[in-house]
Amino acid sequence: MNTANASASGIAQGGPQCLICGTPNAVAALQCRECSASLALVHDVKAQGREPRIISIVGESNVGKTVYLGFLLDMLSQRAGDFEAVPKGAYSVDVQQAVISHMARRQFPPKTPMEADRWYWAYYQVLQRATGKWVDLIMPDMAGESLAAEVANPKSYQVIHGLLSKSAGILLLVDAAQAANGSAHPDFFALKMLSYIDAMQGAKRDEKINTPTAVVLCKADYCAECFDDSQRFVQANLNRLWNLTRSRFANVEFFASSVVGSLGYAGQADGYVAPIPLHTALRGVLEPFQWIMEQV
Amino acid sequence: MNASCPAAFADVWLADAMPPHPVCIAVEQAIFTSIRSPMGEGYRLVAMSPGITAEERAELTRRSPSHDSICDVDPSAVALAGYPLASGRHCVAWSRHAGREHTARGGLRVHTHLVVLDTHGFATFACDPFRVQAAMFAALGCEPELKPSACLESLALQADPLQLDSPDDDLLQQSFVVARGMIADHATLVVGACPLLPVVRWAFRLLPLACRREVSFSANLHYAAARQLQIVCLPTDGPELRRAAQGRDVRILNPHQPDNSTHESSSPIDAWLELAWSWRDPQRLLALSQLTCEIDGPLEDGTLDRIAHLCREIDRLTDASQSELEAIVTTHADRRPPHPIEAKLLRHLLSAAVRQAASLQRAPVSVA
Repeated sequence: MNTANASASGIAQGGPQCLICGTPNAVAALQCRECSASLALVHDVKAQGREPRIISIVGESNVGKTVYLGFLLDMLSQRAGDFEAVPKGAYSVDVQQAVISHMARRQFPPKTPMEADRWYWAYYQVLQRATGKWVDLIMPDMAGESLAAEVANPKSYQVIHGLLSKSAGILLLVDAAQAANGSAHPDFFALKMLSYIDAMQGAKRDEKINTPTAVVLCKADYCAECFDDSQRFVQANLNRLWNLTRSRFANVEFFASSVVGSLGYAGQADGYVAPIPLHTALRGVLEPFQWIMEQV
Repeated sequence: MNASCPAAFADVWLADAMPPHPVCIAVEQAIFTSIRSPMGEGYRLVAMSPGITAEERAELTRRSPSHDSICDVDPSAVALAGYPLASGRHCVAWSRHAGREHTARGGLRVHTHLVVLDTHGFATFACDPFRVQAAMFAALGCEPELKPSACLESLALQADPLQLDSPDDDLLQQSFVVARGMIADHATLVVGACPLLPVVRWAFRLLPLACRREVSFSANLHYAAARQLQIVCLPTDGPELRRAAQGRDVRILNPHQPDNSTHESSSPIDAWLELAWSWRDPQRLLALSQLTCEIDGPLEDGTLDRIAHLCREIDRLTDASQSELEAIVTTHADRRPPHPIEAKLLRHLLSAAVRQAASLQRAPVSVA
């Protein structure tokens, strides 16, 4: 008697097909009924007449994916480096607006919900002036907990599975500060994430994954040695990750990145201590993206 | 006691239906929240009892509410969800705020305590998630557990006899809208019910047990299509909700809008809800709520209508004349209803009609 979702034949006649999972949807739908991916992407892709590239930013909860993506898009919008970027659709500006607005008020942006229908999606046309090549990029802001849940139980989040299987490039964000403090947790998460990607791509034992993968050491302001030699830092502090990239990934590069210039701490009446980003000092935000663009 | 009197019918039904003592059952439990632990941080299942399977773990993770999911931002806000699991068991999820989110990104942490019941266990609570939640409250207390051990014991829940408050007419009418949505063929969003949780609670009480088993719902949680719920009850409407529901086979209803009935086709429980409306005094509502707990098993088309009709016939007995009583007996004497509750009510009707007819025959005739 009770059905939470109607069958496809009942509602999806003639509507857009989801870019991520291929599910047909109703004409008026704004989100895919199966994976909750934004369907505005489909309309915009059709208008461009060009196949977009998906670049996925992955990392565990609280590593800084939203902040990184927001600042990256803002830098691209402001024509930083060799790039010129044009947002396709007003929704593409939401994540950078949220990040910049919050950081300007000395607040971190809100936690990304696990529910995919509440994620930010960015669709940008990016020109690299040196090559004169325009590339359409889709960059979703995924929740770290959802990534962890998908890694633990593959295909429990179809949208993540679809995104990663279709990604032209991957930015794996790792908490360098925790790693530098001796915590093995970032190493284990990165190991699981790359193992998941390895298993998903199904490469044989003597083949390696060719998807360009940039390992970005975030919060590197805590450990400046990341900037001096990122590769050596990973080898020393994230050895499991290092070994897996050597074994199974053919196209990996390591970067260090930092967004917060200085961090203050505010004590609340209830004993809670909140970190306050006093100002931003971007460093190493564009380089990983630039490298990915050179590879795709 | 004159068993054909409506109030007496309620007394008889309640006396028959009440369990002799509270029943205690063991259920599996888990906690979904965001705490920092050696194994990680962020929203995840931080603790669970060993009886929860790997498949159930994945499903509970996907369907549990994460940050900023409770509609009401008050620190004391409560939300409830319940849904059948693919494993065949049933989950009831009780969500509350539990202090600040620990990574300083604003908002309150959402703490969800889940219990997983097998078919028998859920039936012990008459398939009513609100009774399960009440038992959880009695067992766990009002403070969410933020330092649980990763491995929990099974939770002992006590199924107490049904206790009822008295709904006012407006609350009852709102609960009718929710009850119809629970058995509709499409997903339903009910916005604007107030007070939200009591309205949804009454909707469950009015729904026969057979209808409750498969209901998946949430109350006071933001709409998320990924949770795949039959009915989502929210305190307010808004552009984000409309945007999220656009293009999906989801109907949005407001129980306060008077033209809801013109938008909705007739529901299989319309006659049943009409009976509830006519029986809206506390004693008979309690009897009706007990009756709904017994209407189980496959419901053929028209069974609920016939049960409602029998209840109305029982109501008529008090004021029925001799000829009307004889007509009732004649009409129903040869019926053999397949549903056990329908058969029980029929036996009650016939015996009460015969007794009433006999008492009318013995009554002295007054001479002017």
